[in-house]
Parts: sequence; structure tokens; C-alpha cells
Amino acid sequence: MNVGRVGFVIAALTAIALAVVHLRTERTRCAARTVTLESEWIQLRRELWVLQTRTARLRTPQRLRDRVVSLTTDLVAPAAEIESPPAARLASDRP
Amino acid sequence: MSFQTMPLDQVQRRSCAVLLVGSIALLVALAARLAYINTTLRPRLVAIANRQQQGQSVIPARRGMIFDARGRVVALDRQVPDVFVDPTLVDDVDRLAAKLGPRVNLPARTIAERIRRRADSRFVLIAPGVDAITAEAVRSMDCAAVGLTERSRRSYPHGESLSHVLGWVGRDGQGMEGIELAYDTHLRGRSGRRTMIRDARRRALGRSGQLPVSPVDGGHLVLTIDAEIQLIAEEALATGVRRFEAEGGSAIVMSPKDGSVLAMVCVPTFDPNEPVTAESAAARRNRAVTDPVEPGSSFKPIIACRALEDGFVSTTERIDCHMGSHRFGRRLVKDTSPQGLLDIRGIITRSSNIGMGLIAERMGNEVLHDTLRRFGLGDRTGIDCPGESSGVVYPLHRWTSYSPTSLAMGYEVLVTPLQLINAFAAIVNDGILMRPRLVRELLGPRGEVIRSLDGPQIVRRVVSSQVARYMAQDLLVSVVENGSGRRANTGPYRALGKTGTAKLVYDDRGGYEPGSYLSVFVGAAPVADPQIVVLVMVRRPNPRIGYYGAAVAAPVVGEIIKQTLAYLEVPPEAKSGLASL
Repeated sequence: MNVGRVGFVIAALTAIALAVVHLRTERTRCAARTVTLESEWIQLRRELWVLQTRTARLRTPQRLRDRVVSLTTDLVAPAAEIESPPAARLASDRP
Repeated sequence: MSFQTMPLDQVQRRSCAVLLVGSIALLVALAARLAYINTTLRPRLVAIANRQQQGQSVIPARRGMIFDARGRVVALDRQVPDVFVDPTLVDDVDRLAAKLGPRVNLPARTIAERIRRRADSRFVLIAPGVDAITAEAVRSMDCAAVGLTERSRRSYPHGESLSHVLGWVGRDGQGMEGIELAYDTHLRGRSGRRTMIRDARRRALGRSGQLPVSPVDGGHLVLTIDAEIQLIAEEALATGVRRFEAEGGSAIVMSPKDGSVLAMVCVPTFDPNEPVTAESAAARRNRAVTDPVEPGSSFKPIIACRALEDGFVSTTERIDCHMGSHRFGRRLVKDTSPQGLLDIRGIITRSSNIGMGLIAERMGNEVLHDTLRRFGLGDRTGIDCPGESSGVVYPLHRWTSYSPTSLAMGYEVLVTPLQLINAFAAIVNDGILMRPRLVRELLGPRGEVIRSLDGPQIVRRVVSSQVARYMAQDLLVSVVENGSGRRANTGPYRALGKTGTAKLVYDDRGGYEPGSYLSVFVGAAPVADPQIVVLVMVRRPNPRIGYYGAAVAAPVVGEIIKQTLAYLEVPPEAKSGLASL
């Protein structure tokens, strides 16, 4: 066995070792990324639920009625008594 | 040859052989031990290692949402953090309790007690369902013994509205009442889980090699209830109950054409977000389907329909109502307003007990019993709501000679508000009895339609179309326009209906309670093509203020009809003549 062959074997073994190390590192990194993504997914689900709850509260008929009153627009909430709307009243009050 | 006299190379060879054999023996022993550990001991050691290094993390499934008929969300899940302590990781209980107490707004002593009581456990719940600020305060402690775990919690954005229909969900996510209970299997999801590698302080380091089990969310539901109509009914009923200082009441709004329940209200109500805060367990009961009552005069149209159908009375016959006082056997029956000769229209319009009693006597027990059964009384309606009562229709052999008179006045029969409105809806719906329903569609977790329940479910024809139309568009219109139901005649819509006032029995014993009444009105509108049927029952109004159905319940029905039809954009109808048979 000459020096060249020994060098080739050592180089090949080193390359295999490095590849194995690289693969293991990548696997660990992927696993960590998966864990992060799963956590983010759970977090996003949680945020979605919170936002859906908030939207649902804003869409309740009672809340809409309150908003119509607080905004004093000419809008009339469904099934509300139709009197002269606030804007029309304001206009009629002007001299 | 002794050892000393042996040549050196021979000595070395023998030593080497001994060493080799010894080494091989050692290696064989080690290999055998390794094999033993890897085979026999392996399961136990793996279990110990897993217990030390791994932890299960639950990925909560979401319970399905519930929508109203117009797609408003009326029930949904959200996640809330629970604060817990792992007692095995606590060094100084009192110090930890003192540190945690102010953050979760609990006395340190209470926390310490809870930890000590379950010192061997790995999980002691300290504060369930904390808000985001508290959760952050706990997280900032950076204490291995204190942790946060997420839990799904049911949220009802409409608050007290719809509480009796929806019911509520227990701490373990199980439906406890109402729709939540009836459709629990469909709504409930299946939680997922993943296995995490943890360090010595139980902190998650990463995911183990095991594949996670994904959660399966629950399916959704679409109701027939419209949250806006529900609110209209709730406000009108609450106003009526308050005005007459009543104990409570029920209201139902229904579509007569397909049996869809558009609103179902009970007062007093409760907040399903905090069901334990209800005044009493009775306040959480959906009395509209669970509590049968004697309906009083609102029952007369049902008897009158059969009498007209079978010719026990004609539209032109005039019956002597004995000026408001008459004896049926030994029982003296009185009318509120004395009347002489009245035809069937007059009897219904004036709500004459004597006139109706005389007609019922002609019909006899068998026909009356058959009438009740035909209108579905004594049977559950089959609505998708748990705890429905079938009411009480006594078996024929228990009826007496007084039964026809009692039934004519709406006694000796117990019906739920739902049964009564359903029977009334059959008259309005051309004589066809429908099966009432609360759920329109069952959706999958991604919103795909799994099962559509949209479509009328006919039970049977209970009276001919001709009689039903005459009753609905002549006699019952007359009640509202000329008779006892005038206070329901509000707004631009013509309505039809019937009043009723019944004595109530004691809650805890037999016999009628003096001064205790049930005020009833059941009506429909618009007359030409009824879109809604409305029933209102007010329980135990203050008799000093008023107790007749005409005074207490009729205005509530009028208000509900006026607002609901405006909301449904039903055009007001012109006054027209009455139908004739």
C-alpha cells in the first residue's frame, strides 16, 4: 500500500464523516424548524380564534344597534322604529 | 520442567494465550450483558427513559361553531390559558405561593394549601382561564414549577341572548344543555398530541421522533334561529314581564310554512358564558319545550276546527250562551262578558267558555281525544332540543263527563308552548302540521355541507284546508280586529290570533293557586299569507296590574309581529274582507 492510496482512503473516510455530520446537523435543524412551525401554527390558530370571537361580538344585533346610535348616522338598525333620522333632524333644526 | 526453567518465548506465548482467553471471555460476558440489556431489560429501560425525557403535549381540537340563520356566529371556541404548578419541582412552597399569588390574584395561603394537598401530583391547577396579562405575568416568573397550559373555552358572543336554545358546555368541553348537548357528537372534535423531548426541568427541547397526531376539529351547525328576531322577541317579552311584574315568560316565533323556529325565548335568562351564575337551575331550563301548562282559551281554535270539520256546529248556527252563566252538570261555568246568542265567530271572538263548552259537549270524549292526538298533543314534536316534554293528554278511560267542558276552556290538558304554537301553526298553514326544527344544516370542519335539514317535514294534515282557512282568515282575524286580541293589532300589519288566560297550579302541591295566572296569546301575520306565528306566555303577572292574555301577552305579540315583519321586509297589507266557509 503506497502513500497515495492511504491518503485516498483517509480523504474518503473524512468526506463520509463530514457528510454524516452535515446530514445530522441538517436533520436537527429541520426538526427544530418543524417544532417552531408547529408552535407558530398553534399560535396562529389561537389568534384566529380570538379574532373570530371579537368579530362575532361586533356582529351581534345588539352591538350593531349600539353602534348605529353612537355614530348618529342616518342608518336605521334592522326592525328599528323609523322616525326622522338624526341627520335630517339636525338639518331641520338649522335656521 | 518448572516455570523458571521454561524458555522465555514459551512463557510469553502462554501469557498471551491466557490474556487472549481472558479478554475473549470478558468480551463475551460484556456482549451477553449487552444482549440482555437490549432484549430483556429494554422495554423497562425505554419506559423509564421516556418518562424522564419525554412529555406529551396536547394539541386541542376545536369544537364546531354554531351559526344563526344569517351566518352570525352564536357559539365558538377560544383558547384560554390555565395556570398550574408541578409540586415535585417546588423547593419552597410558601415562597412560590407568595410569588405567584399577586400575579394570579389569589391569596398565597390558598395556593400553598392546594399545592400541599396534592404534593405527589405533577399537575395542580391554580387559576383556570386567566387573561393574557395574567398569563404574561406568570410567564415572566420564569419558574420551572409554574406552567401555563392552553384550554379551549366555549364563548357565546351574544351573551344572554339564545342561552336557552344553545345551552352550554362543561369544563371538559362536553355539551350540557340545549343544542350543545343535542349535537355534542357532531360539534365535538378529537384532540391531537405530540411528544416533546424535555430537559431535567421539564422544559421542551424539541420534538421526539414520533409523528404527532393531528387534531380533528368538530363540525359546525347552522340554526333556523335569526339572532335579530331573537333579540326582538327577547326585548318585547322582557318589557312585558317587567311591566306586569311577572315571574317570567316564554316566547316563540315560528315560520308556519316549514316549521322553522325563528326565535325561542325564556325569561328569566342566564349567561351561558357563566352558567353557574344563573339565578337557579330552573332559570337555565328551556321552559318553551320542557314545561307543559294548561293553555286556557288559546286552545279554543283547536276544538272549534274539529267541530266545524265534523259538522258539530255550522258557521250560521247561533248558540245560547246563557248571559254569561251556565251549569254543566253540577259545575257552574261563567264568561267574562255576558253574551246571549252567539255564532261560532262570536264564540271565538268573545272567547265564550259557555258557547265553546256546549259545542265540546256535542263532540264527546272520543272525538275530543282524537282531536288532541291529531294535533300532535301528548306526543313530543320531535324538535332537536333535549328534554322536550310530551305534555299530558290523559288516556280516554280517565276522562269524565266534565272533560269536554274543561277542554273547551283549555284545562285538563297540558301542552308545552312549542306544542301549542305548532298546533296553531298547523291551522295557519292550511291545516298541515309540520315538525318544528331548530337546525338547518350540519357542516363539516371546513364548512362543507354534511347534511341539509332545510326543507319542510310534514307530519300530517290535521284539518281540511277550507276549515283551516276559515278559522285563520275569518274567526281569528275577528279576534284581533273586534275581540279580545285587539291589543295585538299594532303597526301596519293585519294579524290574527287568540288570547288565553289560565289559572296556575302551585309549584309544590296540587290545586290552583289563587291570583296566579298564565297569560297567553298566540297570533300570526300578515293575514293574507302568514309568514310568522308568534306565541307569548307570561307566567304569574301581578294581578293588580293585569293578568288577562288580552292585556298582558297580546301587546307583546303585537310588538314582535310589527318589528319582525319590518325586519323581514314584508310589505304591509291592505285591509280586505274576511274569508267565508
